[in-house]
Amino acid sequence: MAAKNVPRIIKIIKDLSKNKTVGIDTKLLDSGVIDSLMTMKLIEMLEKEFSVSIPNEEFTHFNFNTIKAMSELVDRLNIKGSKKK
Amino acid sequence: MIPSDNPSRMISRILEENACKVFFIDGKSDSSYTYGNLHGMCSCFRKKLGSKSGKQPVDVAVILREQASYMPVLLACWSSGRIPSIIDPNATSEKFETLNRLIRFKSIITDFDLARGYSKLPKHRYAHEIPAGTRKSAALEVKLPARSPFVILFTSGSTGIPKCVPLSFENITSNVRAFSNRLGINRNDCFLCTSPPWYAHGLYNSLLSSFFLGAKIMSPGILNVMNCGLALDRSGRYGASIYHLMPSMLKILTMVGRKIGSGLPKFRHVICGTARLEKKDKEDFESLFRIPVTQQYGMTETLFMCVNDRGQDKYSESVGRPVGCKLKIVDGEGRTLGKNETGEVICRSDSMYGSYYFQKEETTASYSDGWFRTGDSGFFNEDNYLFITGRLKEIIKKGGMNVNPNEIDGVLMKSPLLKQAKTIGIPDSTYGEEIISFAVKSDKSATEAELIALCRKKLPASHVPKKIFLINEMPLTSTGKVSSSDLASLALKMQKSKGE
Repeated sequence: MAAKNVPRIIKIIKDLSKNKTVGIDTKLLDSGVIDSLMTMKLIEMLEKEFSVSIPNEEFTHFNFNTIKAMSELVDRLNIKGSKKK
Repeated sequence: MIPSDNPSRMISRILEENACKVFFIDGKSDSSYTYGNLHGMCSCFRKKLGSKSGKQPVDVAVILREQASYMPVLLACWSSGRIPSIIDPNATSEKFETLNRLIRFKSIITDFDLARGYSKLPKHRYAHEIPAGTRKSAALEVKLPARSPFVILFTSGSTGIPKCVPLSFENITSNVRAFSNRLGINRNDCFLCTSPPWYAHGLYNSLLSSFFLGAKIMSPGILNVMNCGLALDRSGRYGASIYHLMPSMLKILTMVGRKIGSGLPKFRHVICGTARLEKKDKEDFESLFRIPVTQQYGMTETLFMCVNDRGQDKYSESVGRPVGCKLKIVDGEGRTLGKNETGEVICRSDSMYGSYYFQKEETTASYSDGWFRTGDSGFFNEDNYLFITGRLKEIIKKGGMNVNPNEIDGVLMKSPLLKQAKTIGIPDSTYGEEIISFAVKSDKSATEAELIALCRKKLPASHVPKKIFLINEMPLTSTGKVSSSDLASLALKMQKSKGE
């Protein structure tokens, strides 16, 4: 996992959740820190922040439930993107 | 078309004539059940519920998570003389007790484990199991009269106390009949349902409408970004043709639909209601899915009142023309107003019960001489198309002047720097009320000064907000609407912190 992504994702979650305290393993969806409608904003913000495009098949509960999973997702997409180039 | 009838005859006929036809499809598991299965599930659960004491109908709280559980439980209630009150399964036990104090339930029916200590009332557990074989012959006897409450729904209520809305068999069937006739919806249709079934939007618009038409319903769960791809895929697979949705869902579908790109489902009618639909969101959806979005206007108390099925091009901002009801525009004294004159929209129809349930004060405030006061302001144009201009309660009375907050929101939303805007009135010692706007930025560079300048340019000086607060997101009510009361508290807090 690229640790460099984590602070940027934490900042996004804090912005979205009005400064709720979260750790990298906090279950964001299960605990209601972010709700299903917020996920749309979350995806837009992640795409903008990391300059990636998250494909529809990656829209899973698992990928967005923790900061750790989101960070891994961003990494995977970055690797795919750089391979294409 | 569904005929007028008594409840037992009509429901028995629907179950018998469609016994072998699929009624419900669970899009998550790809499982389904037929009308015949539904009859069987209802009979099994009816036995489990047992008989109640006395001949009078009794009130029961129905708290279900699974969309598939609703119709069997409702039929079991109706056939055992129980009036089901549909309660949000996410409601806290405190909220449940508030409702219980209003209605005095005899028991709770649920399909999941309620939290420990959740009410001391007797509980009946519904387990969703499809019995082997189908029932084709035995009629289903409904033990509730056609004009008595068949189901109780709750709306949020501006004072914080929910309003209990009864709907009778006649209310429901007359509205289904009028609405489906207008749009040509019939038993061959398949409804896609992605709204919570504990509100009218999910329960009535999709579930009860499809049942009383003898049609199909497919549910992939309540729509969110995670299951949107699944919802679109299953809609194509099962031929979903009718989709009732809310503006927030339209945005999700457009976002995910763009990523999918091709092979999007072909709906016959996409019908949007419950909140104001932004023109841009509508156009984005329409160009992607290649189908016009039909706007409807309705409330839990009245069900559907208007639908804009024929005036899309000419009057795209209108909620349409009345469907199966009488609507009037009245002034503050109750006098009927003419075309293009703005006042309160009031409604009279067979689709409304005519009172709240056990709530006399609320009833007196909203119902009078058979008319229901919607609390919305609007006008009819010369072609009898209704335009909603705002909520009467939200009209800001600044220094003796009536200011419509929607007018200010409209100007703010023209700015590309903003995603969302909402204007409210807060108490002011000089003007009585002062105008405060809240805005969510789409561009980091947006400033209050720029937005105020925009308002000064486009609005009369009296309509320019005193303050525009830039926030990260709008606080929402449980039904997904922007919460004006939360914004009012926030405005007072923010003003205090700035020493104003």
